[in-house]
Amino acid sequence: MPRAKFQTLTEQMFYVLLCLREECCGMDILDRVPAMTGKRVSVGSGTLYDLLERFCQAGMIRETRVEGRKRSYVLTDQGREVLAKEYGRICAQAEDYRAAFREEER
Amino acid sequence: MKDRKKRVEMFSFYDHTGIEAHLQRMAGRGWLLDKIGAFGWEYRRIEPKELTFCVCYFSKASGFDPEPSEDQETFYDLCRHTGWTLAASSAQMQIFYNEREDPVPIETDPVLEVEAIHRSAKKSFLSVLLLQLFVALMNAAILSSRLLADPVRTLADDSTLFLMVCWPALLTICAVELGSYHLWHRRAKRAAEHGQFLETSSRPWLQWGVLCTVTFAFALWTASVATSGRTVETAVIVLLLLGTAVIILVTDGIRRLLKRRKEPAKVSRLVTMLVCGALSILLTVGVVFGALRVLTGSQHSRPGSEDEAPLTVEDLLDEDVRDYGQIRSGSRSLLLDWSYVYQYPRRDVEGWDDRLGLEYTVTLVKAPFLYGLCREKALEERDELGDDRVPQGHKEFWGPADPGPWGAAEAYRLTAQDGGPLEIYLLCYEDRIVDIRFEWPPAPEQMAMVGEKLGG
Repeated sequence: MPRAKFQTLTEQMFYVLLCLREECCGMDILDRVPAMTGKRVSVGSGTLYDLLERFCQAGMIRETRVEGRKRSYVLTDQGREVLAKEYGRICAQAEDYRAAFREEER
Repeated sequence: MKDRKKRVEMFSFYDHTGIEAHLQRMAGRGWLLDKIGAFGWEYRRIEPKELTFCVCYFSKASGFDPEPSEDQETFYDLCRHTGWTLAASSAQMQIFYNEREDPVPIETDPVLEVEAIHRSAKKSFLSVLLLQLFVALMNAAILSSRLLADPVRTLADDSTLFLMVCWPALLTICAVELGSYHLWHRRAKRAAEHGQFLETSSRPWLQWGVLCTVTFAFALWTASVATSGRTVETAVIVLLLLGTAVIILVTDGIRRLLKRRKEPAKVSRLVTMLVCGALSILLTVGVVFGALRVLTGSQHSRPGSEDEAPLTVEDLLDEDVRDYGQIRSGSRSLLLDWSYVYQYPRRDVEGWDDRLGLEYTVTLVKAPFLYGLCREKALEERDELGDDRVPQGHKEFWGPADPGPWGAAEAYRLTAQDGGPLEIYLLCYEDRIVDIRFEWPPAPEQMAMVGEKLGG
C-alpha cells in the first residue's frame, strides 16, 4: 500500500524536519543529520532537494532567507504539528514494544 | 596519445545503475565522461582511478535551457557539498562523480528517486518513444498492406526491402524499451514502498543488434542500387544521407547557438523544432520531386535507344523499332527482379494503326523459396474465376498450354468465357516467370524467340 503523503514520516523526513526546528540551509541539514544520528542516518543531496521542495509546497516549512543561491528554511506550525505527531507515533511504538516484553518477562 | 575520445553508448535513458557501472569501469581505465553530444559521449583522459558515479534525474531541466536554472544550481551546490562533481548532463539526466571513499549517495530515498525518474522519463524519453512507436507502427502497417496486396512487386523493390528491415527494427526497440520501462517502474515502485532501490538494466545487445542489422541492410541496399546502374536512386540515397547529416548538424548547431546566446528554453525549443521541421520537409520534397521528374522523364523511351528491352517487336516481326514507343518500368532487389515492357506503335508514324504491339512482364526469382509464391500470384493476377465482381460467362481464366514451343517448364494461356482463347500467355521457366500479351497470334518460331530472349 502506498504511504499517504506525510501521514507517517520516513526517518530522513523526520530528521530533516527536526533540523529545521531552527533556521538552517540545505547544506547545514546535510551535515547535521549524520552528526545528530551518529552517522546512522544520512540524507542524499538529491533527496534533500526534493524533500525541501515538497515540505515547502505542503506548508510544513517556509523559506526565511535567500543569500545568492543559499536558501534558509524553518519549520512552520503545521510542520511542528506533523513532527510532534510522528514523535507521538514513535513513542507509542516504543511503549508497545516495552509492554510486550514486560509481559513476556512476567 | 589522444587525450579525448568519443564513444556511441547504448543505454536506456533510465538505466542509471548500468551507466554508473560503465562510467566507473571507464574511469578505472583512465577515461572520465566529459560531455554528452548528439553524436556520442565524449571522454577525457585522466589518471586511472576508482571513482563513484551517480546518475540522477532533474525533471525541471531541459536540453534547451540556455544555462542551468537557479534551482538546478542550488541542486548542484548541495551535491558539491557532499563531494559530487558534475561530469556531464543531457536534458534531465545529470551525471556526477565523487572521489571520496564510500560517499553518501545523491538519492537516499527510493520513493523519491523512482518519482524523479518517472517525471523526467515522461518529459522526454517516454514521449519520444511513443511518437517513434506510432510512426513505426504506421509505416509497418503500410508496408504490411503493400506486402499482402502485391507481394511480388513489394519484394522486388530493394528500397522497400530496406524499409522492411528499418521499421520493424524501430518498432522492436520502441516496444522493448517501453515494455521494459513499464515493468521496471512497476517493480521499482513496489520495492521503494519497502525501502529498497531496484537496479535498472539496459539491453545494449538489442540496440547494437538492431543497429548492425540496419547498417548491414543499408549497405546491401546501397550496393544493390549502386551496382545496378540506377543513378537516380543512388543520387537519392546519397542526398538523403548527406541531407540527414546536415539537418542533424544544423539543428544541433542552432540549439547550441541559442543556448550560448542565452535565449529562453521555450524560444530555443520552438526555433530548433521549426528549423528541423522545415529542413526535413525541404529535403524530402526536394529529393522526391527531383527523383520523380527524372524517373517520369525516362519512363517513356524509344526502343533501340540506350534503354534496350530484352525482347522487342523487331525480334518478332518485320518492323522497324524506331516506329515504336516504349514504356518500361521495373524494380530489383536481392530476392526478385521485376520488369515491365510495353511497346506500342507511335501515332506520329504513318500507318500506325496497322502495327501491332507487345506487352510483357518478367519476374526473375533470385530466391528460390519465392518461386511458388510468384507463380501463384502471376496466375491469380489475370484469373477471374474466383472474382465475384466479374459476371459468370464473361470471366477470363488460365488453361494449360503446350510449353514445348516456348522452351518453358510450364505454360498457360488465358481464355475468355465469352471470346475463346486470348493471345496472353504465362510461361514458367527455371528461375523466371513471364507474362506476355501479343496483339497477334504468335507463330512457333516467335514463341521460340520469346523463350530464347526472356527464358534465361
